[in-house]
Amino acid sequence: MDQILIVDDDVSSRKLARYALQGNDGCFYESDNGEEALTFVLNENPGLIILDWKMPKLGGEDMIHLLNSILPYVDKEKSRSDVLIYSSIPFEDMWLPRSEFFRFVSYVSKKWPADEQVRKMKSIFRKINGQRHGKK
Amino acid sequence: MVKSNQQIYLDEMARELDADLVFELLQIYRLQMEDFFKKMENVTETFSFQETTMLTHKLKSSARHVGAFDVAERLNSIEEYPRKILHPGEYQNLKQLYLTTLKNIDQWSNELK
Repeated sequence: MDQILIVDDDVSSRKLARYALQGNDGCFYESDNGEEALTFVLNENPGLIILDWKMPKLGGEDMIHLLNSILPYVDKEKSRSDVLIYSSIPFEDMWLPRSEFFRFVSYVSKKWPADEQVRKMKSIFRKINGQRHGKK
Repeated sequence: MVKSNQQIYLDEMARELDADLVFELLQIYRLQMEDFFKKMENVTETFSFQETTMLTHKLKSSARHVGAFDVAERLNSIEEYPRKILHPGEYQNLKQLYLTTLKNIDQWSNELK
């Protein structure tokens, strides 16, 4: 996998996500807020974004909304990023913005036991990696 | 040794994941909670509770990651109504729950040594 961006204001959640990513190819980046992550996404176009939905400086949902409105004017050739939502907000309470730039691949709840979160993330990474290698 | 729910949870995490990772998560939990208590110690009615909401939201995850579910529950109710921290006994109750988790953590860590 190419670049992977973890966006979460909670350092322990970032640590778990990074642990789950161990053994994956690619460069990992971390950010603790949506504002900073937004600039990174615009410049770097990461393959996967692990995104917290609620953060003090621009949450995940607002970040996607903003990028949806900015990206059409920036670079239409950019490929879209996969997004894994990592949040304690129940999935059924979320509203996923429609987007031609982002593909919501899965959801991991922070309310699950830590080992279950890691297992789920690992299986998602395997699946995404498989899809990407299949395309090549 | 009779084990608490939290210690059983930590055992399982250390087995399923990695003991070093669990220790790092415990350290983060401890630092974040202590920082939170420092911030909340002298809170008054005039305080901006927006920060409390964000802090409790973040802390909930750290607490859950180390099996401190009672603390996470209490933080959750403060997140929903941040002024609750000013209610008589609320701060002390939370601190008491936190201290119990610290005791569990210390016993668990000593057991591993």
